Amino acid sequence: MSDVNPIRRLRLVTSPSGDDVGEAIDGALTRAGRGDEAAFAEFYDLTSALVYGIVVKVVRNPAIAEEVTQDIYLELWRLAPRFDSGRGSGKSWTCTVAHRRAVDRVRSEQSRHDREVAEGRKSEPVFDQVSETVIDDLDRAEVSASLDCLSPTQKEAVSLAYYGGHTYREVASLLDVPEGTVKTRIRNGLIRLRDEMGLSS
Amino acid sequence: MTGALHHLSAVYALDALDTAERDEFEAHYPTCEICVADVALDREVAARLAEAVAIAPPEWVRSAVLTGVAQTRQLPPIVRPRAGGSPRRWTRPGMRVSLAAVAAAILVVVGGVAVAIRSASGIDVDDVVAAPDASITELDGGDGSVRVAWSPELDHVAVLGSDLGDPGPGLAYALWFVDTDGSVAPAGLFTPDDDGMVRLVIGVDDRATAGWGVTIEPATGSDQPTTPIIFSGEI
Repeated sequence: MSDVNPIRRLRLVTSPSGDDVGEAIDGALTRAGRGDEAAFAEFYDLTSALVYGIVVKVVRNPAIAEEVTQDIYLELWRLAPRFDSGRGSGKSWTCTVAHRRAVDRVRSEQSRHDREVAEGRKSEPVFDQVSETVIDDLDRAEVSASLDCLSPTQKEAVSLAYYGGHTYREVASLLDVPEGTVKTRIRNGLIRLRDEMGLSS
Repeated sequence: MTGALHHLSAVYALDALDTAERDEFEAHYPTCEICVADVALDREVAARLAEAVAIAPPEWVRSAVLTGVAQTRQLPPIVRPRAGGSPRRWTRPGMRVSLAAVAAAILVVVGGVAVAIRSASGIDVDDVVAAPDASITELDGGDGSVRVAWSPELDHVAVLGSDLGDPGPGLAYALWFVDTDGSVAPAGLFTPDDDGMVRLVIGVDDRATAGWGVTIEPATGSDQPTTPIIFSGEI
């Protein structure tokens, strides 16, 4: 029964065994949810590289990345009482909040930039943002390794979406392929990555 | 949920939907337990992608964060039943719950449409489906489909049905525990709404079972099936 698989498989993730860091994060986060600031400091130490890393990748500008990272942690602190370890790992909860915040920041900066260009108050940048984006996202060895199991087109789509912070429509435009194709590549890419992580049947 | 929205969990989990589509997806996906699980799994994948690019921030960010934390109020928790371990705290504003009693389902039938389905203890369908010890069984049988999710820890069953015909006046579908020795015990009753849908959570006794059966019984219930089993499935 393929349709019940994601629900069963989710149990593997919510009861990690042998994932010491994951368990430590869950523990610190749960205690932080009860107002324990020392526990939150532990949580910060366990997750700050994860958070800052993805923020830098998406936001690019280091000064903005530092600011967004602080915002993210304040939000994680506020939301910690609502973290439910039965519904997913603390690590993925943290990354979800972080990535969303980073993406929202980039998109609001982009909107502002576009408005200013349209109003003639700013000129378009000189360098070719499109090709720089594609090269930048695919270049790092670590990124390549984690996406190794994907086909080149899946790798490209997933990378531009996640690390580039682009919507699937923007990815379609950047790659000059149909929007439906991008959605399919992302979906199939994630299915493949789930397999690699032992998260599907 | 429509078929098209189902397939968006991966794109959504990577934050690659634009604002309008994200809002639309978020309005619908919590009602679909499979999508909820899909999104959760895709988020775990995304966390792995984040791990690949981890970099430590400058030291000063830590003290800035902890200073901010000391001045920031946390949100209140959403009170949910805790699976396993006593004492459980089951509270909803204005509701008194007997901890010793098994909560009964509150089924409100309004004008032929079966509505609500939150048990008196405040557990809803999503709680049962997402419980770590939940089994989900698709039952084989007659016209329509029935799925039963069961969390022994929560002592609740969720029944999800679609395309089910009207059982008839004064009648209801009855769900039965079916044990390995063939013995049968009542679990609860359900009636589809005008669209043939059922979405119901029932408090059940603490027991073991091997599978489920569904028959049509008088709406007042029966101790044992009085008609042939029309849906059944093994856990």
